[in-house]
Amino acid sequence: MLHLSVSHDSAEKMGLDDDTSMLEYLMSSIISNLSASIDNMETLNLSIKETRNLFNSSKSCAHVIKSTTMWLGLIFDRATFIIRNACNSSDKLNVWYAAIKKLAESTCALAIIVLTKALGVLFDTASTNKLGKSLNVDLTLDKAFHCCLGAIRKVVCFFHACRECSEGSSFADTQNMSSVFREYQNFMVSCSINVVPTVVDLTNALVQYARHRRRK
Amino acid sequence: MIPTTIGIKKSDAQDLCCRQSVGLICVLAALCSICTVPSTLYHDIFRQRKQDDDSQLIQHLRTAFSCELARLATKGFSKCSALAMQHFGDVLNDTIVSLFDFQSIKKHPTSNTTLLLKLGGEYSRRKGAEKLKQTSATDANDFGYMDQNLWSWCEDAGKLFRKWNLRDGHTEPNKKFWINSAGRAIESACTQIRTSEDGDSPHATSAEKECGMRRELLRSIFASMKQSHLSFGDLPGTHDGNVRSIAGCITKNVFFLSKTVSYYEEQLRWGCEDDDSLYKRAEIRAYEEAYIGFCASVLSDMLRRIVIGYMY
Repeated sequence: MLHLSVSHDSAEKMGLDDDTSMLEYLMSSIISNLSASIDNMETLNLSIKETRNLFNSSKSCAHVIKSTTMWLGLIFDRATFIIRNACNSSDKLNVWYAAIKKLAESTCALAIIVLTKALGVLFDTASTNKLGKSLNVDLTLDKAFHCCLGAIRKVVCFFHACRECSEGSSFADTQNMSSVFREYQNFMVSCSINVVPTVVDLTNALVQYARHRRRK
Repeated sequence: MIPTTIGIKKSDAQDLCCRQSVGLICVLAALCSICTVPSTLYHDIFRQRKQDDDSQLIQHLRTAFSCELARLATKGFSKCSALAMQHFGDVLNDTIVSLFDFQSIKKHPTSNTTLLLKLGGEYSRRKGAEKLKQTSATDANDFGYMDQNLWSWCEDAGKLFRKWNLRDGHTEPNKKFWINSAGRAIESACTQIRTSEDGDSPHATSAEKECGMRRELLRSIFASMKQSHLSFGDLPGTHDGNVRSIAGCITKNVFFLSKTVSYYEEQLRWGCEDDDSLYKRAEIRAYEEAYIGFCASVLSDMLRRIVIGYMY
């Protein structure tokens, strides 16, 4: 949408020229949608029966999380592109510039926190969901995980672009970035506990493999 | 993708994290460029847990993080630069440890066709030569993550250290001098290697050549110590950052290598004497020869400096 609007300079035609909050609203609805999918997935992960319904619902949730994060990544990427260009030139893009800046001021931290939550729920799906293994046969969870990571990087790029364009103003202060980092750090620590195989594990595995070959 | 240790079956969630570990680390580094990061970051995220003291993955993750941090720092992200300099010892230590990483050396084909012929016969020699020829023609992007980034990382680290100044955390002028001269040494060694390779990218085409390049870089770093009469032990912020750490890293890699070699030797005793098994055995022995030679050379250089007394 951003691409079409800007490339055709149709902000005026769409009646959006005086509404600098429209991107913020649009993003809020997408982030809410993502949050709802995360909550759904959390509920499904607690389910104790291995039913077809559980499989289908979990799969749908994973797909929704993947596609929503892809959209988020795409929008933030586009917004970065526009703000970098708008920074240097022309009055034509002023409305977009204001709208995107407003978006940056309100949603960067929120988007990263929700995306981190999405990473956490995907990790939980792989570990606690009764059908986690089957769900990831076609790497659905991997792809969703990858899209979340990509989206976070796009948000960070967007944040930098906005900061570069707002030299002198207090852009960075409007974001609660310390809590963002804490969330991500907690996620990393929680998911990496005991992940690491040791050399002792490796030795045992080689010994087991050797025994297996010998039995053959 | 960062190589995870082979043959271990962990839970699905852990597997998922292992597969996405590079992405996780890159995002962490990216977040460091916009957030205020606790000074205990390295300890909090990369601490060795429970009995995982010898874990390879944690070291790989640390290395990837330091690499990404140095990259962002040289791109002008001030928070990353400050963080990298705050953890100067960790970044330098990770640079050195990654230079000793056997797994990334093993990604290059061996050029020791004499040994291939001796241990595996004509088939092994021919296959080794083919592999060498193929790799010479392929792009560096075909290699793994750290192998792809190792030399650019070294250059980034060199640039970062060269620009380091007293405001970045430490107060003693001779340490500043050492860090700056280490940075210059790393940068000029990378440039020299690149020039001698006659190309833009200093990727070696064989494991033996790669070992030689790494040895030269390490020697340059050690030689820069001589100028300032400093040691790793003098540097604040190093995590176990001295000769002991380097020796430990070499020991781990040699241990892993010896296990792999003994596995192939045992295979031979079981009667696996087909051409491919013989080739694999000959290949790993060629890697062993190259890697042990490389480590012995660097260790003897280090020991010589310890005896002279400006490194410990």
